[in-house]
Amino acid sequence: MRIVLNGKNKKIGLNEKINDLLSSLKIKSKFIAIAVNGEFISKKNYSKTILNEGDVVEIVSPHPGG
Amino acid sequence: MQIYDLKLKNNIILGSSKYPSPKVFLKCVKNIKTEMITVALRKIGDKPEKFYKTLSKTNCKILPNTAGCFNEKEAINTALMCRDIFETNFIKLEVIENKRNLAPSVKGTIKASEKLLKLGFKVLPYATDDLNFAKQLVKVGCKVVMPWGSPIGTGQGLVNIDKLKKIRKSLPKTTLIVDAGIGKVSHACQVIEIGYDGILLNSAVALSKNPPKFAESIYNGVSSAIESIKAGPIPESKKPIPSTSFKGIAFSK
Repeated sequence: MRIVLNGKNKKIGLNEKINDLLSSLKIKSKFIAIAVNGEFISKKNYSKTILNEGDVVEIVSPHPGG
Repeated sequence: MQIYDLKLKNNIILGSSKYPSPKVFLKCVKNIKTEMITVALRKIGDKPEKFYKTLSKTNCKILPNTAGCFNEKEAINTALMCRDIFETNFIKLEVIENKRNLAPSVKGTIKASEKLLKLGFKVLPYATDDLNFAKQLVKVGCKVVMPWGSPIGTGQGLVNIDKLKKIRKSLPKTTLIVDAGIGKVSHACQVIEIGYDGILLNSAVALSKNPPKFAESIYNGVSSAIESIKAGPIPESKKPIPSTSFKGIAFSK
């Protein structure tokens, strides 16, 4: 299955959840936030949210800003 | 300066971008004595904790922004992501309409403010110097409004000072902060002198030749402006008033 992760195509397994994606990416930091198809997903829903074919996933973290 | 239920001793909010190094940024935070720092969210890099660790060294309140958002939906979702990471309800709301001059969207900013306030956010909206725009933001519940002095990063100062004064006069109870356009210490002083509560700046400090020194100068200038206001400057007069009396002048009849 294909998703778009931070603007780049990525293959993931069927019925993969956000938690699974983070594990495969080896992202352990709590200083991240996620949106799927432009909608914010809270941390408590990472284990419940199943990703679908073509989903656009954004993973963000703190960055300098004005 | 009152930011919703938070009282800050210092009147300056500092941006965290464009510094030559984290070390220089930390020196600027120290020298400008700010208690609140703006930050952004961007796609995750190699070390997401790195910048957060720098931030935690400042002991400042975090004011996340929605910079780069071009509509209400993007801004709201970015604000929710900010809250998820920073565990704060404060949000510096930026909904940009015009990419050329980075002017805020009136409609988008008002709509997003209204929705974010209902979601429990304490919204600090970036606005222009238009009085009706500011009034509408207050009407939907914003306790803080941040009109621009001039477009972001231009360093032009307060190009429409009379318009900014009108906002102050019309909204006496709202916390007003000039966000964007500050380039010199004198600009920051003017903000205080026209009765505004504070200044939000970034590029002026970060891109100066000696950021820590410039930060210190901004702090000193703003402190002097505050003290001078307390000392009571003379009212402005349209007519000239001689400081030396004409009485007793030589050669007079």
